[in-house]
Amino acid sequence: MPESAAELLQGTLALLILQTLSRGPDHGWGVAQQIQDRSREILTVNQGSLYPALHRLEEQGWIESEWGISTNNRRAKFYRLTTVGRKQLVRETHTWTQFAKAVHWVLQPV
Amino acid sequence: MTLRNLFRRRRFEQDLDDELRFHLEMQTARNIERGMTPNAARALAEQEFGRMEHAKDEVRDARGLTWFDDVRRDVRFSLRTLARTPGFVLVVLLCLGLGIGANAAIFSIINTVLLKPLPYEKPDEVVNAYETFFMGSGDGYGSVSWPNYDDWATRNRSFSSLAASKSTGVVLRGTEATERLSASNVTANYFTALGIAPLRGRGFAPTDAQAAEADVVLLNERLWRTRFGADPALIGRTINLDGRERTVIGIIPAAASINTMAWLPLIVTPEEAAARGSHNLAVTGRLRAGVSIEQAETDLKSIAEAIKREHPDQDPSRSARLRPVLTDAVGNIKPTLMILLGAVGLVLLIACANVANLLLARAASRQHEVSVRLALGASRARLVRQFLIESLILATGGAIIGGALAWFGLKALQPMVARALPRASELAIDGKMFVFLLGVAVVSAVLFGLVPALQATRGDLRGSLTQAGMRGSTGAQAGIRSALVVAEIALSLVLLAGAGLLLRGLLLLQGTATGFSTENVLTAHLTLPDSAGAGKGNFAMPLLEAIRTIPGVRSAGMISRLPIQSTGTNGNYSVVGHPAPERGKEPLAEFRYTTPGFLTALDIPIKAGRDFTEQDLRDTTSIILINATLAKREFPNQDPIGQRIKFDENEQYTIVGVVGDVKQGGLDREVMPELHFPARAGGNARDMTLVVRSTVPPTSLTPAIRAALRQLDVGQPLYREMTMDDVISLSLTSRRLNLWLLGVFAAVALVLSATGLYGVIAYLVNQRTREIGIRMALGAKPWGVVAMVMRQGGTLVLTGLALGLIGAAAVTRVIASMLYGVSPRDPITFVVVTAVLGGAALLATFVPARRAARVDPIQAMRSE
Repeated sequence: MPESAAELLQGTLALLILQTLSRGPDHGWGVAQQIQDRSREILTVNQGSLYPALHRLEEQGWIESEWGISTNNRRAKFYRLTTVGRKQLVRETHTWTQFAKAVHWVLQPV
Repeated sequence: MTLRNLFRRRRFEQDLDDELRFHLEMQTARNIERGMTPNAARALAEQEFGRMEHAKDEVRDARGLTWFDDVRRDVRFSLRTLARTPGFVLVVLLCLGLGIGANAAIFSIINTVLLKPLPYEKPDEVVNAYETFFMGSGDGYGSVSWPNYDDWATRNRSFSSLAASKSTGVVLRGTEATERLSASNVTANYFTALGIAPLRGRGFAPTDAQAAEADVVLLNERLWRTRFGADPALIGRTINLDGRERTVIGIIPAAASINTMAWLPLIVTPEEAAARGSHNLAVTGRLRAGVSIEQAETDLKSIAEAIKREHPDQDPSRSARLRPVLTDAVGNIKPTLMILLGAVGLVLLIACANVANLLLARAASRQHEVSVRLALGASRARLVRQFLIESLILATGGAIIGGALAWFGLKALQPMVARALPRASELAIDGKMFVFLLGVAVVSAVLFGLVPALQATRGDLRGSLTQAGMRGSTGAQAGIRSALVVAEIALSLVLLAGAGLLLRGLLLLQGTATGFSTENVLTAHLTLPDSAGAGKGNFAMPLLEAIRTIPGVRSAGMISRLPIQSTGTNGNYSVVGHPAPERGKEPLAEFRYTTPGFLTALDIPIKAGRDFTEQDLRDTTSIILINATLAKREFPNQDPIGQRIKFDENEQYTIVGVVGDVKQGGLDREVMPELHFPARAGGNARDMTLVVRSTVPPTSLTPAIRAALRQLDVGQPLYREMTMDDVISLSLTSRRLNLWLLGVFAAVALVLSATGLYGVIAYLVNQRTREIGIRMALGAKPWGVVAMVMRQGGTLVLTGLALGLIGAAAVTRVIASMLYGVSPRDPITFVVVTAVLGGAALLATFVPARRAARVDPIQAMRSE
């Protein structure tokens, strides 16, 4: 697996996790894989920051967790977006697109 | 969330482990899928996940757990460290225990007396109403006459109810014992006004005050429990009060009154209803919602003005005044308590300074440990926290000891406190006090812990790690420690000066001339029966006759109000033939009713004329005695005997004698003009005090006197028997309590500052052992070494004393109101306390100085 191609910007990981979980509950590993797959392997999530981020989001009340059984019949901890988290996702997505657009405009050749 | 995690800690760690292991397994499986061998797959997954422990820490951080972990570790470490120096811990805990204990005791008194609301519904609405009157300098205020009360009650717009009461005494006659109870006659709306509902039965109805229905009584819960075994069937039954059967209609909760055991309807005779000049009612009311006490007072004052217009013959100086019940209940105790609070605050400061000193010494000896930890990468903040946690542990221990000391101390002082303080029976250690103790502990931990913590962690790494550094003496350290000791001595001097002034005041007061002799004098109260023959004289004289025949009795008499014990029955008078005083500005005199034998019994001299005779009690001639103060005031160059005093045009009394002055309301009060009337029928003194002088120990007479009383068969009990010495001593209780408390605090301060000084000097001597050794080796004499050390200590002592004297001179003024006959800057007191403190301080210096002189030069130099 390639080394992380891009250092994730501060706070971006949270946004990515929320977005990933908006598609349905998943465990930590699943979240990491989804982010990797959907970013076409450009973004690799460092486990060392993934789990603290998941716990921080849960502490914030944006996601909640529950122990369940994974597809390969293993006990795993599943995270799910809460209503508050869904609102937070909308807000952060909006902020992020604004930001990306702005950066894009600045980078336009004159 | 965080707290829950903390309590489910084990579960949380397990879950976290499971979660991360699951991740690792999934990653391994993925690697195998991609064609790696299981071993390689796992190895790679683990490598990728190498920072698992770090990740865990970050997760714990995210959950706010690491902080608690660190603190828990620090606490455990601190406890271990402290356990290694039990002597140090013991001294610190004692210092803090004394400091915090003193504060806890005073706080619990303040909490009870000043902060706890009275047991009424909405106590802020309840106020006492008084009549004001001219009293020479400024207005006095006191009881209310029935007609004035009646006008206030019917005309005011400020009170939802305005009630009147009059305290009295009744004799409860039962099958087993006859007992005198404090009682009160009250209007029907009295309990409604206070907002107190009967525990059982009903309160008074307006009809209860109509003579025909008046044989009802309400009893205090306390009496109901002690005397009637809390019998619920007592309601509706009758009890015998003053020889009259009265139906118990209700029980009033004990909280309503400490003293009053029974309440009777207030029945007003037509004469009383007309006697606007007869002031004998206490008036209490509940303000209407939203009406302020000032508005209500204005309302009553305007009614008083109207009354004066309608009754021009009445005293024109009379008006109205309101006071909150709590203010009246606690009297003028508030400033005293605030002063004591200030004093215990000083004690705590001294204790904290002392502990800070000990911690500094300890920090110096731990310099090496600190340096090593700093070198190993511990942050200064971590170390400061570690030190502060140690302080907090010590403070908590001190708070526990202090709480215990306060509890035992208050218990020991309880009898004195109960007599000196209002509401003392409610005194208890409650939840508020624990919050207070916790607060004090935290504040003091910061106070005594922060400087040493900062000092200790000020890392000069190189220096500290070398041999020289291990000795840990830095100039700044010694400077701080010396400053702390100087502050301690100064603060102690302030406290000692305060206690010294109180003591001197009390001694002066005890030496004050009372005007009578107290040796072998027994006093006892009794209530003369209304029904005893034709008049009180007829009852009093046979009783006195009987008492005089008891072996050991030298003389016996009665008076309506005992000297020292009370003032309060008084009125305006004028001298027949003298120019009439200005209306409303007539002089005031204390009234007493006495029997023949009273003056002899207390050894009060007759300065001119004669005492009353038995004949005077039987006759109805209008004669009086006056005291020397009145004689001097009205008849400076005349013979008072034969002059006449009048109270109104119809009431003139001829002076037959002048008696010596006696202190009326207390040793610290000025003697007021006083008039004695013969205690006979027609006088309004029912409650009399028996005064018996004997040749035997006075209290041994009580049974014989009781027997004499029984012989006369009037069913009146004797109560409040005490010697005259006890009466005087009782009048000094609150002064004595103040002295006790302040004295104890000052003593604690003295001990603390002396030990603090001892600690510093001993430490300095220790530091200089080598130097002293060299000096001795070079021929210094032991006394020279002593002098050298004493000089060092003496400088600190003198600085502290000088600052303390300045502080004391500035501060003792606040206790001026508590002093008697002493200036707040009394030089004698200041000299004595300075000498005491200076002496103790020099002794504290001398002990280590002598040790220094015994240093063996060879040992001292070898030990380095």
